[in-house]
Amino acid sequence: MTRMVKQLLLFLLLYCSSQLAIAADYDGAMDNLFNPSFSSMLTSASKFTQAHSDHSAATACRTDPKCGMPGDSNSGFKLPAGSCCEGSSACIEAFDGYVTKIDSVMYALYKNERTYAVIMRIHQARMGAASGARKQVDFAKAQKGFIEKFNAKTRSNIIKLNNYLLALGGAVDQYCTGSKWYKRNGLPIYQHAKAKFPK
Amino acid sequence: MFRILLFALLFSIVSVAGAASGVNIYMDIHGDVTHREKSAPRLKLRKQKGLNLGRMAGVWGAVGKRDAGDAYFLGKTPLPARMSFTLASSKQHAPVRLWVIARDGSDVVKHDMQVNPGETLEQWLTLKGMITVVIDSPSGKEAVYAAYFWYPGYSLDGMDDDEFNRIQSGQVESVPSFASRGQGRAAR
Repeated sequence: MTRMVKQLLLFLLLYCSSQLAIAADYDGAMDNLFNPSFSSMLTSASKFTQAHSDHSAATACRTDPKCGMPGDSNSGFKLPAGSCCEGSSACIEAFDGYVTKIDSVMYALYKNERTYAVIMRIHQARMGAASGARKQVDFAKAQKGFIEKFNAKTRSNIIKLNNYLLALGGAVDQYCTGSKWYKRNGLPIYQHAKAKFPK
Repeated sequence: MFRILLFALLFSIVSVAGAASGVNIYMDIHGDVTHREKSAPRLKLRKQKGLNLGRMAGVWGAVGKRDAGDAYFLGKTPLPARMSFTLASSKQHAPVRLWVIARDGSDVVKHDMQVNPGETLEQWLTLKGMITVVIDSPSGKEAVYAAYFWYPGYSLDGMDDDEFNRIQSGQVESVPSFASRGQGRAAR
């Protein structure tokens, strides 16, 4: 019995070492050993990733007439501050601070919208190419999981967006009593996001 | 004997787990892997810190002289997958060549990349099936190389070539801002 266990262990050991090329941790001093280094590869890959994200967000925005139109460099949502807020540097400072946050969340929503469309194309292709009922079921499960994950992330972003719009409205109301900024400008954006993004 | 074997097995498992947490470079300069495509060891592409898209791995190695080449199995894909291959050759050594081989049943697709000393070449390929790379020195002289492999993921596989080429060349449209301060009435 012990002999069998030994043989099994030996087999497992040999199998592990033959099947894996083990990538090692290496210290930063070795990074310049080769040109391009691994970190410069990561840097150029990150630049590519950024271009991909910008392109995805812009593509989704330009297919949504509320966000922008193809070829229109002025795309995006314009949030009016109004003359009352513009007359106060404190109000404008608060306004611009929230606009930056809203911009960032909307970028993520539009980028993810495009990514969703592209990935769903792949899911459909995988389903079409799958042979056998078992594989079809597995792919359908994977697709369902992806949609659930997408919706959870999207809902969280929409809640974030609404919180920033509410806070922006609150900040404007502080300086411009009775402006009802959120109701006039924030709520339509929130409602648009809620109707457009979740699947 | 039993304890030694158990320890060695545990050590190999811990080594694999440890590699997953760090930068994913396989150093063939410290040892040698086979040049045979069929028995190529698996080189796992892993998520990297600071890289939001996909998985990456690299090899720093030497071929030529008594080394016929190095082969790595990168993985299997049921649908065409877009991957980036980068090959760099050391200035002081011979040119190096990298074969990318995709086997999908009886269909075999081969691409080759060759770089002169001190050069770097990047190539994007769309591949299906079992993907293996084989690196060798065409002259048989010692060549020292760095090879990097990056699979950015599904979101690139689903794109058409035109769209992908625009991203790769950096000629992408972007929206300057998704929300900005605009003109208009905010108050009654």
